[in-house]
Amino acid sequence: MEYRFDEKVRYAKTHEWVRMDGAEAVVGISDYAQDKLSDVVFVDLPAVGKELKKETSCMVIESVKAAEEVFAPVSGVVAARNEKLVKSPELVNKDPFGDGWLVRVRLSDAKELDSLMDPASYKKFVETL
Amino acid sequence: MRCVIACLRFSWKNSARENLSRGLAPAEVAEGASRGPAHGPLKLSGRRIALGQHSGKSPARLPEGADAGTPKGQSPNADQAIGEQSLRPMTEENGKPPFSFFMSPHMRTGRGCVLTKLHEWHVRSGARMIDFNGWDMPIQYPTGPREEHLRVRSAAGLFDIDHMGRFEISGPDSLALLQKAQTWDVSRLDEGRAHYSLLCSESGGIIDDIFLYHLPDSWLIIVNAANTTKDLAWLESLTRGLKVTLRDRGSDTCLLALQGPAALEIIKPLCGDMDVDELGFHRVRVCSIVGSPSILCTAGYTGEPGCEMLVPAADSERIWTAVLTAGEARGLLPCGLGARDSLRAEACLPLYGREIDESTDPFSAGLARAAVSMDGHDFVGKPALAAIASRPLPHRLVGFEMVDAGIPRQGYAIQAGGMKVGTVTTGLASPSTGRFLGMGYVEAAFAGIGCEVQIVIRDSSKAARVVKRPFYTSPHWR
Repeated sequence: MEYRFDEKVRYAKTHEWVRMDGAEAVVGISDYAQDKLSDVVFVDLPAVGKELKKETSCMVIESVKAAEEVFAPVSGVVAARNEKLVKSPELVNKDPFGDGWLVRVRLSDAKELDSLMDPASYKKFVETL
Repeated sequence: MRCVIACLRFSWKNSARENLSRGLAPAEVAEGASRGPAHGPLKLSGRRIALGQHSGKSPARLPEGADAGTPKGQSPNADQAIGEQSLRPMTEENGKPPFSFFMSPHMRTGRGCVLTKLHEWHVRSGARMIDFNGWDMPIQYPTGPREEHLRVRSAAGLFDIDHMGRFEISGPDSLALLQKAQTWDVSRLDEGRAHYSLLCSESGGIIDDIFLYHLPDSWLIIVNAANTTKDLAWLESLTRGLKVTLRDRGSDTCLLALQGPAALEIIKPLCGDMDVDELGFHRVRVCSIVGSPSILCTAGYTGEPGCEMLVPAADSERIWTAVLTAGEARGLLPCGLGARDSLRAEACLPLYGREIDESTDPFSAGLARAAVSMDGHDFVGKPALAAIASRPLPHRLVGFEMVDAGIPRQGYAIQAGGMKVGTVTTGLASPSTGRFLGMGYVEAAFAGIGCEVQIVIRDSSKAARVVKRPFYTSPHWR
């Protein structure tokens, strides 16, 4: 199976990604993760203003077969959520690094980004799974 | 990410590896059932995924000559070929199979999962395989479960349902055994017809839901995969004094389901001179499929027209690929257990281990009209069922629709006014209707259409409403 790896994002071991866009971090799940999930049918997004803590559960993605917790890859406050996912949760499968993004987060500690994997490291990590 | 709920779960009690002793002579099975190791539900490493269990609806005896399809190294009568050793499942602990691979009625994976005869094809075709009650089954192909589901509604899908158990009953007392063992009065079921039915215990609990085929000179019973051993032992226990032969046909045959509005058009040219059009629903015929002696039954588990086919084991992949080729232009797709589960859920067909088990009865499950003849024959469990029917039912199985967005999953609480009034058995994001739907047992006072209830999803209470079942009715029934 060939997975896509966005070269402009950083990855958590739990398969979330972060891309800085101005002062905010855009968060989503990797192509590997969406493939393992199979067809996503519901995304239980957190409310705007909710505080996220790195490496703790921040939302649930439901596929045909399972409900999966998404762990916040960084700490901060939810600034926006991808409302398109309410009607079209399948965007997480179709475009995990683009239209399938989950939330935008105002970081509380930008240094946390350094603890995430670069694309090459994440790719190697996925190959070991 | 971390899995918090695997919705396609082993919902079984001690069921996971029952099929390992499939193929034993009935007496050995009965004995083995008490002697064999007690297995809890299988735990997969990491995420657990499993469908409940199916409930098949299909066919009977292969014509003479079909035994030529017996797997290599196995005597035509598998019952005699397999000894006591097959009661010992291969485990990761002992690391080796307890008997020669080719002596086994079914091939296994390294972890001891049983393989269907089409296993290699599934793996070659990129299917995602899961351990389903001890069987290594395709849950989806690369197309994905949603597209597979929709294709069955709009065109057709082909399913490998070889995991389902099937027994042939023959001999002069076949009817007597059936009338004792199951709930539908089959003295009224003509040869060439098939019917849904139940095996009930003395106390009226559902041992299994089954499909019966009335064949020339014999009957075939199709049962749930995880219940195969239990059912065979149950039937065997009722044969004393009767002149019947019970034969497990799981090894020498393969079972396929072709479902959808285009299904019968696809199969027609492959069935020789049989007039598929005149069959009607729930009819069974001994026929030739792609030149192989087979049995075709117009039945299914998706809510769509279609058929299930019992074909010789040795010809299974040839027939599977011939059907796929024949249906390609009409949009036929191979479909996995994921689509099978969402299709049956939309049609509100019960799944053993979810809607029904030995703690549920046919009346509470809403199956009495379809499967139980209370005014006919005397069967095991009838007095208990009569008692159940004479009193108001405390709980009923209902269908509900989520008013708030969210996916109900098996085991979630159903509440009304802050009090728990029931439990979810099945839930899904319905591909055909775009709604979040579910089934569950609730206290009778909350079972009326339109009743407002709440489903507790991850500590939050989501509004839902009891609605009519089925959720989806195919417009393609003739």
